[in-house]
Amino acid sequence: MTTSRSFLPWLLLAPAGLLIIAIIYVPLFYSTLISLTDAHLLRFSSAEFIGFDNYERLLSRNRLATSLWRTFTYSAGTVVLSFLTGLFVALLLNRTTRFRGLARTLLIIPWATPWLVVTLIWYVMFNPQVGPINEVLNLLGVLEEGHSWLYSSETAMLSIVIATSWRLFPAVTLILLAGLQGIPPEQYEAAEVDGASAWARFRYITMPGIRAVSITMLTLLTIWSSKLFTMAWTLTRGGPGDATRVLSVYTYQEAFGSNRLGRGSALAVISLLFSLLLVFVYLIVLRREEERTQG
Amino acid sequence: MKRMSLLLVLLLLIGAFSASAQEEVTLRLSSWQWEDPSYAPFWEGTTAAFMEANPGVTIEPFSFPLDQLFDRVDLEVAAGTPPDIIEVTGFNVFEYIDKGVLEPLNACFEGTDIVEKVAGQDSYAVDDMGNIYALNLSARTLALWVHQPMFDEAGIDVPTDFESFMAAAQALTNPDEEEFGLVLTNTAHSRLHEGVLIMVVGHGAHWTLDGEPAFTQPEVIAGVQFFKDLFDAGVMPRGVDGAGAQWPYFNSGKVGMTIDGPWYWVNLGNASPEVQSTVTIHPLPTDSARPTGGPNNLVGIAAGGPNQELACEFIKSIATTEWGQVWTNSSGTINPIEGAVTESFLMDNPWFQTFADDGPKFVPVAAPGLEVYHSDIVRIINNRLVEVLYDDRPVEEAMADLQTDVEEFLEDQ
Repeated sequence: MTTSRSFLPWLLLAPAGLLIIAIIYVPLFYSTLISLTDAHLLRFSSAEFIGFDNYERLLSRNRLATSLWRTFTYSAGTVVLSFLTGLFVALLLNRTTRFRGLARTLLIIPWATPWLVVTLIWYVMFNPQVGPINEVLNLLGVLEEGHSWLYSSETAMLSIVIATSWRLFPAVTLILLAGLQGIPPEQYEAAEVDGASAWARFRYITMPGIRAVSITMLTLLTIWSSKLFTMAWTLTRGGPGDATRVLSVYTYQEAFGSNRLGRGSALAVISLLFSLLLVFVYLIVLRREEERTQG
Repeated sequence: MKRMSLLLVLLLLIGAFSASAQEEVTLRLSSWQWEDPSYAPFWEGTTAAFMEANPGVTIEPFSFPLDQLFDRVDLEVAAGTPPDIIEVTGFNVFEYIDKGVLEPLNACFEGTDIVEKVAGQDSYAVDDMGNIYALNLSARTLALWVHQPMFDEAGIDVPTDFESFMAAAQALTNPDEEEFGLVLTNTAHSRLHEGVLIMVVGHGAHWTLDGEPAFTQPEVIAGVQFFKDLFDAGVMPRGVDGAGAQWPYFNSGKVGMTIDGPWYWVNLGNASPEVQSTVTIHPLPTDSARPTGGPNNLVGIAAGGPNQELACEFIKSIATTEWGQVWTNSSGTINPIEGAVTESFLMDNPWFQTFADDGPKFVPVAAPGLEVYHSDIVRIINNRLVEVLYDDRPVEEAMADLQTDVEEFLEDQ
């Protein structure tokens, strides 16, 4: 009886467990296996085991290091810009109750827009010949002639960071706004009575009040942006040069542009390790935050 | 007894059914042109005629747009179920040959005069052993398209060399009226690669020399520099990202020149009949005046497929002057079989004359010796070209880096 009882939970978990193994771990294992071969899409059946050659080759070239740096730059830029914009808008919305509902609805639009549509919008915005950004900068006297935002190595990364942040910041706003509304107004009233400045109120009431959601949001933004492919691929194809060749674009180019599945899979495994590292950091931060709150 | 009779009838029926099933053969033919009105008459006509001549044989289209087709075909190849007949481009044919995707056609062409009748058949898509892998369906070259009213108004002649090309482009550019002397693709796109290659070829060189990368040749540097000079002179709009962006500029009637192939004629006519009616077409205005080009569409048989004999019969059936004429007449591109471009076609389409005349002078787009890696090489070249154009990197420096990039790439293969 005891034995059958101890088996029951496992039995009940088995279908879900098998499904997870089949759809997550089997492809992962298979991809790792391919990364140890010289598989090419057009002669896949004759792929040969080559050990860690793909990894050695990738690590011996600067391209991987450059791509990891680009991924870091893209991710860090997107996290900082979308978080700060999101926080700023959330603080504005938190001050007024009149148009909050309408503003919240309007804010959803970029967040609800498919990535591909976002790229089209920003492709036009950044167009050197007819793009509104150049028009505005021209009117303001900042630029004399159209700047090629997406085609210059100096501004291509900045451009895709701006476009990505435009798509992501509404999520930050909505979540931080919920956090801000959870802060008791009495705290602000008491601070005002004590003569605290606006900065002091922000520093000692607002920031601690939204600390937990901010940490969650920052970590999620880091994970999301480090995996993004659409913006860097559709807007700049990883270029000019390798200026926006983030890891996901590099992987795609190797696996499907050049059909080198073995090397593409090796890059995918490296991407996976990179993501796992971020998830690991996320879990540590989350654990510490829980301990801090409980403590 | 009754049961026995029923069983017998049933067995006979099954036998008859399986016999008829064995006679039914389906050939899959992959092409991106099935639904293209310019090419549909050729593919629909040839397949219908073949199916009529071969009862029991069905040719099934494996049809996707060009930007999706080869991903699908590659996956089918990886899965071991490639389409029986594969239309390839003049670029990816080399990778397909190298990876053993296509079957040699020498045995198929034996006893026919296809090799003699089709221009370039014995030299393009042929390996070192003399194996022919695909039937050439079209040859293409590029030419200079001139919006004649702008030239007439400015009182200038159509350019014929680099110097007059630059002068005409500058004379026709008027930023206040948003008029440009020239429109060419100038972002990382295969058209940028070919646009710059035209200037390199115009100086008498190619990206390679004796099959080896040679990006630091003075002629290559001069060619890239000329394109950069045009770009910096402001004679072309910036950020032109392929045909989808290039064509509307010229269609608008506010651009004096563009460089394109014969396929643009139909698009121009549909988008802007008034511009089409005033367009003149000329040889490329470079010092060598040699166009880039070569076989553009080819068709081959998948290696190891079960229906190779029938696929071969189909390919032989389309290699005729009659079908070549259908191809040329409907698509406005040259089918390289003898007699495909008729006098009456040229009379009806005088604009085509430059393409017909310049066709044999073509310099292949794929760098000789690096054809197998064409798409990778184009990507690597474009990366550096964009740096030259938009980051103002000195051409010599960028070409030296490009030489290293390509050498490293080749080492990695």
